[in-house]
Amino acid sequence: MGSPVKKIMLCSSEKEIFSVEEQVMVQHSVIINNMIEDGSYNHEESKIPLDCVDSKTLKKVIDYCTHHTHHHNDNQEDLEAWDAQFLNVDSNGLYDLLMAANYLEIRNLLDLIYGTIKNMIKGKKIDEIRRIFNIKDHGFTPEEEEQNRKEYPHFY
Amino acid sequence: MEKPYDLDTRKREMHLHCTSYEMEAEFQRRLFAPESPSPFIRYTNPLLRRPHQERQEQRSSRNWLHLPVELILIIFEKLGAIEVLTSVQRVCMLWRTICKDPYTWRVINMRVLGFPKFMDYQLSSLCRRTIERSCGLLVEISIDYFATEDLLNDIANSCGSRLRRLRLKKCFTHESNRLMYDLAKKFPLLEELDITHCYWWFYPISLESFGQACPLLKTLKFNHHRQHFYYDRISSCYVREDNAYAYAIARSMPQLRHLQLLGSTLDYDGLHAILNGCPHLESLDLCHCINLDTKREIIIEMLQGRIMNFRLPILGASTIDYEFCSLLPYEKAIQNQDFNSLAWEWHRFHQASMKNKNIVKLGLVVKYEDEEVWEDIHMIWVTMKMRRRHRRESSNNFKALQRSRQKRKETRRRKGKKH
Repeated sequence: MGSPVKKIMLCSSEKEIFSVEEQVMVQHSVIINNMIEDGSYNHEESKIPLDCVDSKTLKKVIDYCTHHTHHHNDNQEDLEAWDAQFLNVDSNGLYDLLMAANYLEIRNLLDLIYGTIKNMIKGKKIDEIRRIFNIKDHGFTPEEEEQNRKEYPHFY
Repeated sequence: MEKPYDLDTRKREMHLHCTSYEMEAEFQRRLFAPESPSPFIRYTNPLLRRPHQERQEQRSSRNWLHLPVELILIIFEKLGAIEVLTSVQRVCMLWRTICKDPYTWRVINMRVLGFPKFMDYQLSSLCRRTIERSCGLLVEISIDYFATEDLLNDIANSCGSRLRRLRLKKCFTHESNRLMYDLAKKFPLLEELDITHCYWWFYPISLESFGQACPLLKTLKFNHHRQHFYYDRISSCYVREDNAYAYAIARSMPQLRHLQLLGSTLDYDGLHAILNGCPHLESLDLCHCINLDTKREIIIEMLQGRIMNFRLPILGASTIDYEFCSLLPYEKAIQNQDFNSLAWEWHRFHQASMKNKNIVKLGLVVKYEDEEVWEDIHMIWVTMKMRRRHRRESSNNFKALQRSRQKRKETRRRKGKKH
């Protein structure tokens, strides 16, 4: 005889409403954990507005939390493979995920994303990094840039 | 007479003469004009940005320059100082501004994974540059491979007064065997000292001087690679050497809370001295302490009730949860094999190495054919050779000893034949 699973409502920036098991979000997100513990969340009426997270990203974040709650006893390798599959997104998606994870304070997801970004930067040439992160306006004056290129050609 | 509030001319003049009035005007202009995409404004006050609006404007492609500075700082910290100083700081102006901020360099992480292939970057000069940039705010520094006494002196002189954590890994400088007492006195706030796999330059007396000069020292990690070369594990001079470290710790560091002695060859006496000398000890790690392996029951009895966390000396135990585990050759092996077969492997390996010293090298290299690990093993091998040479040089009568041994053997043989 299990009691019915408690659910909470999350509202994305497009006003789309997602209902998630409370336990899942409480376990992962520090912010939501605090909200529930404060008693500032009313299970009948209120929903949590997440204005800076769009629907697509929120869906991914919820996916992550659900998978890691239900499968935390799994083989470590399987989990890592799942994580790698999960983070197989373009840099825009990664940016959104990073902002969302930062907003909701999901530590594991943050660590995972930092690791990915680190691997994206590590060992790359500067031009590559600029392309990956879509940095068009680097803000150096042309003279500075040229001098840098002359002095350190192996970084470009 | 009041000056006309013409910001464009002010802006042009700002480079020429910056009075406080103009600075303030410029600052206000930047503060209340979010439409000008200056990197400065994002850097000084990330809260001013409205992420939702920006997102809608640039739905097609995100601008990574708009990341909050805290997040960029974390990414830089994860990347390590070498990467940041070489390429990352030249990517864009904002990142360069962040790299020049002393606050970025409160934690300097100069870790090198594997053997440093790019010595042409001149790691120690790079390290000196980061220390300059930190403007004395340095709190934590970790250095792999290239810490010499000169470099440590520089660190101590420029920002030793604030340093809380000093981590040195795999630093082997042969020539510097001066006393470290003067150096230790320059780190009055040191809380954590981590000396992992360093050879030669750290003597018991320098450990003692660190203990005396740093009253706040709470964590000491003093690890060795010694579990690899098994053949000199029984040799009594190594037991005495590591016991001397243990006595130094016991004498000089009564405030110690956490102690890690991975791969130490101290024996029962040394452990007893540490337990008596450091009454506040909360965690003690004796993993791979080969001379304690046989007396496990006594050790459990000694530690239980006194220390909350302790790790027993078990041969061939998994070291995968240590942060430097990627430097140990078991990493791959532990991933592939289960623990039992690994332990069995160790036993056989040990037996073989007692008979024939060359197998130490062969066995490891053949078994763990991984590039990074191979380099590691190679380095161990080199140090082993150097150490042997060192020993040979230090004992003048080494060859005489050998000759006398051979004579003894021959006489025994003759006696056997006679009987």
